[in-house]
Amino acid sequence: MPDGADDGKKSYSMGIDLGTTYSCVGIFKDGEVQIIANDQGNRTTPSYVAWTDKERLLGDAAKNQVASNPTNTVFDAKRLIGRTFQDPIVQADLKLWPFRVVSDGSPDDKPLIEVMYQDVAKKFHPEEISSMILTKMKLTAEAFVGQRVRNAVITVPAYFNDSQRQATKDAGEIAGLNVLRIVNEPTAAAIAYGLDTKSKEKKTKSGEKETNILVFDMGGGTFDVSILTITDTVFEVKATAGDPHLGGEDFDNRMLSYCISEFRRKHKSDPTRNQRAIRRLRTQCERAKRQLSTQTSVTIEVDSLHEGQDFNLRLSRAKFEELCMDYFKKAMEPVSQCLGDSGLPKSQISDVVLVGGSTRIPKVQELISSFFNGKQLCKEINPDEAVAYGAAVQAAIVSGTGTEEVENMLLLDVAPLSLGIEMAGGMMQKLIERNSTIPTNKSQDFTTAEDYQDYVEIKVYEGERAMVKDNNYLGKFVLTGIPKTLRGVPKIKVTFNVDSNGILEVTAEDMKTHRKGEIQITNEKGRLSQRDIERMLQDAEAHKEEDDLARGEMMARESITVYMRRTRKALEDIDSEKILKRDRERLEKKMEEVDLWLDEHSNKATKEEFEAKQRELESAMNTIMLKINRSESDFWEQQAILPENEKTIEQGGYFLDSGLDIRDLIEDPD
Amino acid sequence: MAHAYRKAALKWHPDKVSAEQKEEAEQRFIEISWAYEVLSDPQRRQAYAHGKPSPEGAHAEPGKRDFDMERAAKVFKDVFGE
Repeated sequence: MPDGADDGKKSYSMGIDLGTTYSCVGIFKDGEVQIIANDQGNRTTPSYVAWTDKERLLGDAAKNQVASNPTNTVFDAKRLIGRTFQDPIVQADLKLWPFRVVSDGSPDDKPLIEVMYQDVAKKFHPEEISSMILTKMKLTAEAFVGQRVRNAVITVPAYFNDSQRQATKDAGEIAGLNVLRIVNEPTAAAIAYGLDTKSKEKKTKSGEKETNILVFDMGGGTFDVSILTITDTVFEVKATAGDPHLGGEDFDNRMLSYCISEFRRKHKSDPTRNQRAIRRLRTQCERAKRQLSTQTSVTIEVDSLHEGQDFNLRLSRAKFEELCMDYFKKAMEPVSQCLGDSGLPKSQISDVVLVGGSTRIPKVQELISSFFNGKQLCKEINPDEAVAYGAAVQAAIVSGTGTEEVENMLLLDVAPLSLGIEMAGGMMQKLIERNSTIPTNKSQDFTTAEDYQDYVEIKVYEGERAMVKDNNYLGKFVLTGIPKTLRGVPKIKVTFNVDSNGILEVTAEDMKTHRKGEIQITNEKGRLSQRDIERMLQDAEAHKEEDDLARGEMMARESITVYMRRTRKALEDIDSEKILKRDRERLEKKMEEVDLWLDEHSNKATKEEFEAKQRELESAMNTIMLKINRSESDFWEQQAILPENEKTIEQGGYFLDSGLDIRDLIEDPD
Repeated sequence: MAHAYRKAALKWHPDKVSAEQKEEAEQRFIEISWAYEVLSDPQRRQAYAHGKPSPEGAHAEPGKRDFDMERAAKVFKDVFGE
């Protein structure tokens, strides 16, 4: 069933900015993009997932309880996705995370995040954590349009490599989404910029105008620079560069280390191992960092941080800049590289567009501006929402659900890294150069090196260095079944195909037999197998059922507890002469029995069991009530009168058979 | 030339065609992009003009379907009218 389109409703496609620290969702509706607020009213949602004793929490709910539950609150999945456990970046991040990350122990060395849920250790792939956040964003969009939404464009940093892109796409599939496209974040932001500028310039438009812009996108965890040429409807990426591990969190960490050293110096005690203290301090550092974008100094305060000692520190903007200066300077390198790759002189860049929360930092703005000889920067677009905005537009373009104006638009993006194979002597032979427009494909012929060789092995890498050992290994392709003959005779054509998502696919063909050889992917680094994805998809669905089940049980438990309380009160209120002794005893006995049963079973009983017990109680109570004049009991007058359009608990609503709204009862102080 | 490229891209980009045409359009688009890339690079353009392949080793030639210089010449003509 495609997205409920069959029932005559318009189907929607959403754009999701899946960020390291925050995510944002937009949808193209009624001719414009709507950025959607979540159930807490926030237009961005923390990319957090947490497990408590009872349930799984997503977004704001997860982030809000992080200080009290640090080891079971997971964030930063984007810093793990598509990487191996031994990746030096993962090893460095590990030391800062309060949650546990382990290797899956396979030759692929995939990282797994370990949490405790209901006294059992559970392990998740980063893709699964990301899929949970995607699910949360999907629910936010669905609540807004009032129907199912399956189609999605998901954004990734432009500088994400092949494994990271593929893993993000996998996360979308695990969340049950139909991933229309993986789009680069700065490119998506450029769309937001382009539409914004266009709407302002409508009147002056004459013929085709060409504008070159540079998008500087620094978020919570990643950093990208892209240069685009925008004409009337075409957004053409000229070059892209970046650092997939540089952003606001790195600044937070610097501040945190500084605060810890200050605490140590003052109090001669070390809070490093106190997870709760570290988390509380980190939260205050993040807040202080934000304040320092508008204030010149702030006070970081945490009461009773560690061993009863308060923490109190005055931090100036200058000190913050000093702490992070090497990061800020590092961010300028991709800017010059990107400019060089684009072949455009600085003077040809008409606008520098700022995207991502970290571009609010005055020093960052100052450095970019001075790089462009004091240029005024473009801060017109919302740095937190521009990416989701552009993703929503791209979703409308790809799915054909936009307006004419939007559907005439075209995005031409590029591959961020060169792709190639290992040649004799460990040299990298590039087949696809970085900044090639995608989709693209290139082929190369191979032959055998030995007589009667019936297979060839091709190792695939990405990166810019001359030797493959300095580049990122993607995988090994073995082409088997080559007819045995003298060396140099077989002609095997290997084709690299980069699709519109920037994801690489390799095919090989024996040109003599025209037979497509068998390609085995023996080690696609960091990548989940199709079987893994299917299993996780099932897990995710099972989790949903589990959640629904838990909710049903909770409602049924509440219902019977409330019924007991009400019955007790009724028994007190009703004139005792009106009740037969036998009936009263029967009811009291039943209540005692249910009380005992609840003590013993209330944590493990099913919805049906709760309901059965409640029916037993009701039957005992009804015997009494039938014998009492209805007019004397206000309580039972409400029986079975349901407000219009409301449902009983059994029908999935909030009402007891008696017609009582359990939401009222739960709040009832008695 | 940039204008011609954009026009051709709008016509042949796989996002701009129906599902049935996607595969054909994709290959057309890749060829057009490649032709544009060669034309935008003075060195490679000159090499083409002299009927020589591009500088050795610098760029592997594209083409799932035997996309050679002859084919390139055809794309050039079709798209850029040269």
